[in-house]
Amino acid sequence: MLSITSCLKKKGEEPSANNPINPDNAGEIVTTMKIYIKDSITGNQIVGSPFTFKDADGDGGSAGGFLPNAVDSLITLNDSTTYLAEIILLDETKTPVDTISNEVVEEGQEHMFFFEQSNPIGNPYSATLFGSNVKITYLDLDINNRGIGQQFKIKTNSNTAGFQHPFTITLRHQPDAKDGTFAPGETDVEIRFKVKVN
Amino acid sequence: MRKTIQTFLFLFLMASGFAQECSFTLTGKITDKDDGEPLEFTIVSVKEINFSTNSNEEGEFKIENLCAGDYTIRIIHLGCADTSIKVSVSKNTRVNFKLPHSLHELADVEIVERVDYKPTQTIDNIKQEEIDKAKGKTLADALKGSAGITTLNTGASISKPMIHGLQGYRILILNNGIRQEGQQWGNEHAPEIDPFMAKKISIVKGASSVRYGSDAIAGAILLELDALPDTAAITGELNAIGLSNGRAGVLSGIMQGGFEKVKGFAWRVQGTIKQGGNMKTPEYYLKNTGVQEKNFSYTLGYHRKKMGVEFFYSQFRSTIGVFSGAHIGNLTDLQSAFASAKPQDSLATFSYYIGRPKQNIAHELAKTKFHVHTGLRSRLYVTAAYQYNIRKEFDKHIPKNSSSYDTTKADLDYRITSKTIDIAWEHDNINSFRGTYGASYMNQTNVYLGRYLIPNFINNTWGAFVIERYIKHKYELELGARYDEKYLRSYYFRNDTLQSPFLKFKNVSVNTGWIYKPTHQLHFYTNLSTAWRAPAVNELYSNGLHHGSASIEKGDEKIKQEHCYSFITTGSFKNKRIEADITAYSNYFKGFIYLSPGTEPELTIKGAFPVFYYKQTDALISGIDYKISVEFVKNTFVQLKGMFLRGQDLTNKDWIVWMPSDRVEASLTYKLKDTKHFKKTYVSASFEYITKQWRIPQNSDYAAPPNAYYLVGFDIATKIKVKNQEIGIGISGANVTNKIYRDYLDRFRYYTNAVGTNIQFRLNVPFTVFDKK
Repeated sequence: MLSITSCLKKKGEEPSANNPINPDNAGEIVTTMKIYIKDSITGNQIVGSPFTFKDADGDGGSAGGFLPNAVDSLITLNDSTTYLAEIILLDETKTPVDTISNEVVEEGQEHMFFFEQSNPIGNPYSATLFGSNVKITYLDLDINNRGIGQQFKIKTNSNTAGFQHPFTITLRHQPDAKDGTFAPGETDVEIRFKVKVN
Repeated sequence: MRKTIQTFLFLFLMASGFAQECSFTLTGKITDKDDGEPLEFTIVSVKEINFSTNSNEEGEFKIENLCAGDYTIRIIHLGCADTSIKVSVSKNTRVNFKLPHSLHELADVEIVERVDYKPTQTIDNIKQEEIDKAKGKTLADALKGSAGITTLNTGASISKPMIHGLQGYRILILNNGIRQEGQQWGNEHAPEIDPFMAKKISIVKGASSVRYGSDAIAGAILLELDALPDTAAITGELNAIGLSNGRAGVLSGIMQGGFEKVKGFAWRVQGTIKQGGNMKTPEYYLKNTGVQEKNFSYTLGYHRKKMGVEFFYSQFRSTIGVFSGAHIGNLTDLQSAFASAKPQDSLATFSYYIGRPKQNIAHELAKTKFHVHTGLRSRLYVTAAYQYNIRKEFDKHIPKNSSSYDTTKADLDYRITSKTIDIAWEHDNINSFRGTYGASYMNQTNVYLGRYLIPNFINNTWGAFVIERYIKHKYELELGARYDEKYLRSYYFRNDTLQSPFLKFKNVSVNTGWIYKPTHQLHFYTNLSTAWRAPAVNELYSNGLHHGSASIEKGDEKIKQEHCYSFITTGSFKNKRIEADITAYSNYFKGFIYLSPGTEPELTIKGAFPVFYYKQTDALISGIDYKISVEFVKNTFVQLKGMFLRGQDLTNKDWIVWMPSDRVEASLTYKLKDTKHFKKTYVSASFEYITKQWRIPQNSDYAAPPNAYYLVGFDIATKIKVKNQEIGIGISGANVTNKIYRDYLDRFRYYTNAVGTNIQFRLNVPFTVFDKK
């Protein structure tokens, strides 16, 4: 009586209970964010670059942290200098490693990076970190001529006497809604770095 | 609170005042029409006072303390067709009944036994008007007609019933006698049942583990079908429902019959289709909140004089759109959702289209029930059932490396297969004792195909119970005990290594119940019970991010069994003008499993998320429910229904999260006199007030509980007599003032207001295809 056949169950569709899918091999996750920052004149990577946050198993599981020092997310810049920066997002659970940031740029009309969650202004898009003299300028454009922010310029002015400014980088996913502002869509990545200008 | 108690006392005194004038006795003798033999153990029930008794060996029965008036006496005897007779009582009255022993006519066909095995617990049968009013909505909406029942919602289309503040694992749903085994672990997982299938819905309040299974801690919801027909006639019923909000339409039909040539065979087919679109709050539409449902079931039965066998199959399929504004990336998004007056997707218009995120659910149930008479007054039942449940959830967005992504595949995909076998032996009154002995076994397998949220598991459970009841004229006493064992093996990966922990749980549940009937109008039901449940897999092993609530939930492998000691008592008064039920209860939990907020948020690539841990505490959940209906002027009824509930965390000296706030509903109903063409016509208006839930634990929530609110509703219905059929039509309205509100127990309250006015139109057409008579 118990061996009755199901109308909904399709043969072979289900693995057996004692052989579960390893979640680390399934789906796409963003595990790693790296920011490469170089001096625009010398072309040299600054000390500490790339600045990295890694959460090896994605959301849930074990917590993520900054590398090499889990709590240190401080980016130290010099005054009156212009830097070129690039954000790389990786899925390091895949072999070979999947560079998610390439897909973000490909679908640039759906994605935008924000710095300190502020709406950038002007043409090209630019934003000044709150309470600082650090100016961020977007260097890339999507097909609708809106900034993406995967590549950007950091321009510092005067020394801020050791004061650390929050420097949160947020990737917003805004399908059919991207308008250059932070509000539409939802957050794919949010990492809180800090910036200091010597 | 004190005022309310005074009101109760007043009503009770009023009620007993009525009772005092009632001193007449109705006696009688029941005999077989054909051979004149007295019929013993016949049930004699009086509809108006909700009372029943048995005839003795001489066929004699006696009903005391009746008021003057007209009564409907129903005579039920195994092997005879039910008989209803109107009796007018103005003095001590004696009536003799001669029952036509229909067995002779129907040869070897068994009349399905109708001995009423009500538990001693508080049991509330949902009135047909309440079921009608909820048609086209969710199953849980129909249950809200009972006091003490609330719902835990995820928007308007996903609704889980709560009995006395407890839900999910702590409630059993018996669908046509079978424990519903779906994906109960999620708060956004509604019961996978077609509400149109059930002809009768009742709620057993309070721990009822001994009878229904170890985890019926808060109570049980019983969905029952009509008995299969025992004549050759083919009859049926068609329901058509329209709902203004969501522009939803539902069609549901049922048809049943027997065979003239093959006596004892009967069949029934039933099906429902439903389609609804985007729901609307008073100010804006909610994008992607449509629903689609396609359900069917069939039953085949065969009954002989001393045995019967029934096969039942049902399939439930639904697609539910999940409001896209409630799918958020991280805590910053959640906080900005609180800050904004309207959700981001508030520019949405009406559409039936269901896009991502959505749930695709399918549930099937196959059941075979066999029973045989093991003597004049005892029966053996054997029930075997198979259930298979598929739950697929699709995320809002497809991943960025979409080239390799199969969009038809669900992101979360759970399959649960349950096989159960139940054996029960019942005996009717033997020396005033009536009892049930039973055993049950379940094998359950869960498999995930999408992302990990809960592990695969294999669960084997068995249990055995015994219940005996001593029945006297004025009181009944019941004792029950049950023993259960549960073996749970789970399979999941942690750090790339397969884990397969094994857990074993065993325990005893005990129940003592008293029914005391000082008069026919006044009955008391009191139960003292223990209950327990084993922790569920999500409470043990879950470890993941919930997009809907922007939180990380972590199970704890060390969680132990949860124990409950429950006391519940109900006073029930019923005479011709007053119907009152008042229930008081107190559930003490040792090791109550709940979600506790962590102190440190967890860093992920999406930002910081609050972490919630499954923990155990000692808790006390107590409350009072009441439902009082008074016919204060002829044909005009006032009903007052409400509840008070307090959930306390005794260990941490705090409140328990997610408990319903106090509420009251007043309604006024005017019943019109039946005319030649219109019958059972009534007009009703209701006003419900839900207080603000301020009794919440510290740091347990992102947003303060919403304010108190009120809802106004109405219901108008009639039955139009066309030839021999009565066609039912009705129109009802919910939230007719289009009140803007949010409810504490709605998980979407973070993102959006609740839905606005919803007008329901309903049509019920019974039909007869063929009738020999």
